[in-house]
Amino acid sequence: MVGNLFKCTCQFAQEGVFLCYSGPTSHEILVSTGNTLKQFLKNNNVCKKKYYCIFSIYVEMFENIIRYGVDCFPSGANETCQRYPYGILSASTDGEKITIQSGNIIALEQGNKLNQYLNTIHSMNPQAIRDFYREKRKNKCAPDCKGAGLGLIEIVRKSSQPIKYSFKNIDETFLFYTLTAVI
Amino acid sequence: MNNLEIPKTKTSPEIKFNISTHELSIKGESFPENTSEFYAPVFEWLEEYLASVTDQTIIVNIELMYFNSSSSKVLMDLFDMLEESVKEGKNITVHWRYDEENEMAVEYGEDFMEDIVSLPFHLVKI
Repeated sequence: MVGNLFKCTCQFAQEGVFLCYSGPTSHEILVSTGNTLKQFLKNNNVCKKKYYCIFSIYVEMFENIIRYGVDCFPSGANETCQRYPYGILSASTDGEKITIQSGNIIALEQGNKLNQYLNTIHSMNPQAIRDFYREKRKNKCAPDCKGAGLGLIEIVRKSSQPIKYSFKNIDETFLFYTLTAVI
Repeated sequence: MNNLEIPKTKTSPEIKFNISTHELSIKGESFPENTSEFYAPVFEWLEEYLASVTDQTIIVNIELMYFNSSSSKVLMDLFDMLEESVKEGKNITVHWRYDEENEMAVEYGEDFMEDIVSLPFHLVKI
């Protein structure tokens, strides 16, 4: 186990990962790791525009996991128990750009819908994504939507390159979904 | 009716609505755990307040360095509500206060301004 962690740490160091969280997600962890991210950006004199774009992408990715991720740590049979969906998030830098990545487990049918949606929004140009954001904000949310339904659009809008995403089958029911944004 | 004062937290802005100066302000960062739950008392308060005023000049100062997408939706609802009141003859002006270095804050302010027709909405550099 120690060998594995050392291997992970070395790999992170090589890839410029300065923050990584893996485990059950909650709003509290979003706030504390988000503050660590902000502190790192401040210490490295990242300009205000980039600072808020990076933080915003981190928050939206984290909130998406909290809302839509599959709970891999069921705390009991009681349905009223707090959910803690599993997620992994990382922030890395090559010295110039910052990359934020998220990975989590979702149900197969969720993945199909998500994939189609991401295909339509991922390469929209800045004006198109801005217009789409405003259009969606005016409309009522879809019934299966747990937030404002704007999170992914916000991520595309604040990224400085098209976002990347992948879906890997875990078994017949679940997928591992990753999202990468570069600022 | 009392003033509305909600102190700022790590994830929610300071909210101060004053019934004697008719100045309403939302200042800070907004990404509360449950956005609609957090803003519900604000909308409740506003509804009562707007019903009580006549032709007083109301200034709404919004100074948000950061807000998440759920808060963005809530802000739109807030501006829709204020816009309705303007149509009914109330005198309301929104000041979207932004830091010049934070270009996104300007862009988001411009978006709101374009989406609102009857509510006076000004971008104000801090």
